[in-house]
Amino acid sequence: MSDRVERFVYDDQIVRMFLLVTVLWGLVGMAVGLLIALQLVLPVLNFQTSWLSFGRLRPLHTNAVIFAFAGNAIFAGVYYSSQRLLKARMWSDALGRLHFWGWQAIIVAAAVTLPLGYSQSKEYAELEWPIDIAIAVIWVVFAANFFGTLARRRERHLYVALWFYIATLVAIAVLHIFNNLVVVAGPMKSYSIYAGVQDAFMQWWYGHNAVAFFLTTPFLGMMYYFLPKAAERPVYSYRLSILHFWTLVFLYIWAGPHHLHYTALPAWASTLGMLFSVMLWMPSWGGMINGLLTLRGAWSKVTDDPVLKFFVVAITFYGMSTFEGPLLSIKSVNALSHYTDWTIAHVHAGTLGWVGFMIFGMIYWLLPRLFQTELWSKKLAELHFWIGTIGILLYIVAIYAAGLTQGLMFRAFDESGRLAYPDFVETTVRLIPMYWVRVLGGGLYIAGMALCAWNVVMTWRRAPAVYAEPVHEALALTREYRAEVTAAGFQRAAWHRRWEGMPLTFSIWVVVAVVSASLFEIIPMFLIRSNVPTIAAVKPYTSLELAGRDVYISEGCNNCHSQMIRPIRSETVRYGEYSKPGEFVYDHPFLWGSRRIGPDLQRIGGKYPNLWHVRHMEDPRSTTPQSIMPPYPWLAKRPLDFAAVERGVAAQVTLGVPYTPQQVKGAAELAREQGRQIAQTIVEQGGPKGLEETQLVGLIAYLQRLGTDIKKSPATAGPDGRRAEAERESAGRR
Amino acid sequence: MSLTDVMSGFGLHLFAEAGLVLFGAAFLAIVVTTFLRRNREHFERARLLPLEDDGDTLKGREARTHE
Repeated sequence: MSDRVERFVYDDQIVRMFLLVTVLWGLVGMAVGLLIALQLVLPVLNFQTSWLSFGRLRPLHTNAVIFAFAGNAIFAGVYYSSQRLLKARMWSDALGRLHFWGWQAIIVAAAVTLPLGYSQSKEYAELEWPIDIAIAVIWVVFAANFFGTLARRRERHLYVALWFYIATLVAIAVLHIFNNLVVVAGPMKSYSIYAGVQDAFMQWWYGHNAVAFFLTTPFLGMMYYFLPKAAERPVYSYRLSILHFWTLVFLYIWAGPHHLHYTALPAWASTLGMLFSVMLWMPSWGGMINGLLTLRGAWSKVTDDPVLKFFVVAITFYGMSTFEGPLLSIKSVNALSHYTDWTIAHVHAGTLGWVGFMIFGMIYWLLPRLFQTELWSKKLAELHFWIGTIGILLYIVAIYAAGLTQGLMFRAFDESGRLAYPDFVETTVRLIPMYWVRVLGGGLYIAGMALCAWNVVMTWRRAPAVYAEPVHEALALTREYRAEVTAAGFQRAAWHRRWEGMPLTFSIWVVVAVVSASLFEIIPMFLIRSNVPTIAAVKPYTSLELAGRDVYISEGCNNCHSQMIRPIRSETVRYGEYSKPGEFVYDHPFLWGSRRIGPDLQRIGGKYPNLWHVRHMEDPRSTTPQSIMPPYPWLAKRPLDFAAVERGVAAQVTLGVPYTPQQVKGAAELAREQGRQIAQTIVEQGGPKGLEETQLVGLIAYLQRLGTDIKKSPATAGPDGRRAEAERESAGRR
Repeated sequence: MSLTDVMSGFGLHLFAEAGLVLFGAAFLAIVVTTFLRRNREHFERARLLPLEDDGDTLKGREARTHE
């Protein structure tokens, strides 16, 4: 260290900006969540409007609360704590502003495009390719600013919170890029480069680790900084925090396949995911204990301080969620919980309890410091804490009950060996009272959020006209430092300390851990043939079916319907033959879903006449009286985009789907011809005329194709599916 | 012979076992170095870092709200 004293001020304006939008987007994202919760009990609240329907708004809710609410909170926390831990102003004010406005533009783009039906369908990665590119660019801007600040820091040691931030930065970049590799098929349309089983694997490698590296590691970093600050005592065990960090980095990345138990994913991958998930118990609880023991001797403060109250409950929920996560990854438990509300309850315990309450605690701690005035109302913050806590409990208890109820009903058999609840809608109707309790719990949580917003605004209003900018002093780091840490060397077992002083080396090792763990799973998954045995009868979709599949994706049908029948008796009896890996080789992207609010659709093809689908889409309660599915009247009115059909088929060829040149060239005409055939059968069955070029006919073509290939011999399945279509149509005339 | 042929020739157990050994060894090394007595002082200083910053603009103020 040099003896040169440097003076500097922190950039708190960027923290204020991120904090204010955190509150704004939190309100928006949660309000959308409340609306879709209400839609499940009052389907009329879909308003027969495409951009207000459940399937399109559900991704808006998840993206808004994850990337807008939690995302902006992460940036506020990182910008505030990093400057102080590094004793340096952020490297570039301009990059900070670019990061802020770029991220808000991305959020607005998501808020517009998702309700309009532009979606890739992959959970938490629904945004289409132009927005994905923007996310990557803005993430690089954030990373440049963060690493630039590390480079000009005045504190040698990188405090553990910064390690968690580094892991977040590098892992999210890797996950985002590799899960969003697509072939572009239009200005707002793309197809995943992966298909079926491999796409499912990549998606849940991403999905699980988005939870790990977006909703866990940055918040742990914030816990290790803001909890000691609020409690005014150091973290209980710094050594435990080091182990917490490295075990999370080593273990988390392997765990993704536990989202795909009993699916067509190879068993070795799902077992590996389960084992690593169970091992995650160890670091997660180590971290939780470390957090709670930091309050040792300061518990009396918790009764008076809403900030500490929020932190204590948040850490408790972290412990609960990270106990339950590994539990759900155990195959026999997952067989019951998967596709039910149990997963939704688990996710909300983690997000409302851990993420939400960490954010609220941080906001209340930061408000007086950022706005340089007292918090407007401590009582209001206390009230927020209590109604928020009651809201979470109401929400999760009701939804745990709903999950267990539906899971048990799915698998119940009567004395004669038949399904006790063969009609799927019976299992949904049973959940409605619990869904009302969720509305109440969620409503309370949002009311708390509104109180927080009110407190923020009122505190902001009392801020001074000009903020004071305290000048800080610290000794500059010298270049000799590098030589110093290098001399410490491995022989003195100080290599970890050496890394801690060398951010670039440290970051490289984090990347190595994340990437190598990923490759250990990804390489065999992609390169070993036995993982996806091919089925000769499975052929590419016709151009109209492909267009219908795009409608299915656009409407977000996969948010309520799975396309994956597990090899479990209750499922094969209810839905038919279990799903095979080879059935999905042309599915770019996969559409297995993760929740059954409606029944599985993997074998829906040929089950009902075409007219049934017309009536069902027009008004689901006309065919299934107690259905909670929204109506889709616009599908019968909106024309199919035949130019997009041609682009779609061409893009599929790029992905390796074996269409002939004639099928590519004549994609639009072949689609029109198949549409005319289906429309004719609808008229013959007593339905309306004039549907031949509508989105509805495309969707019906797709649904009637689903799961039928394995029922045919290879000889009857022509490469364009036309002969098979004739067979299906004859079946559809029943 | 393609890469797929080569990879398909390997037993799957190789990947899981190699991963387990590598990650286990790395983790063990971190545990050892973390708990070495000679690093205690360093970690003790590190854990105090969040409390060192002097950026608290509230210091010395009376904590009062509108109530």
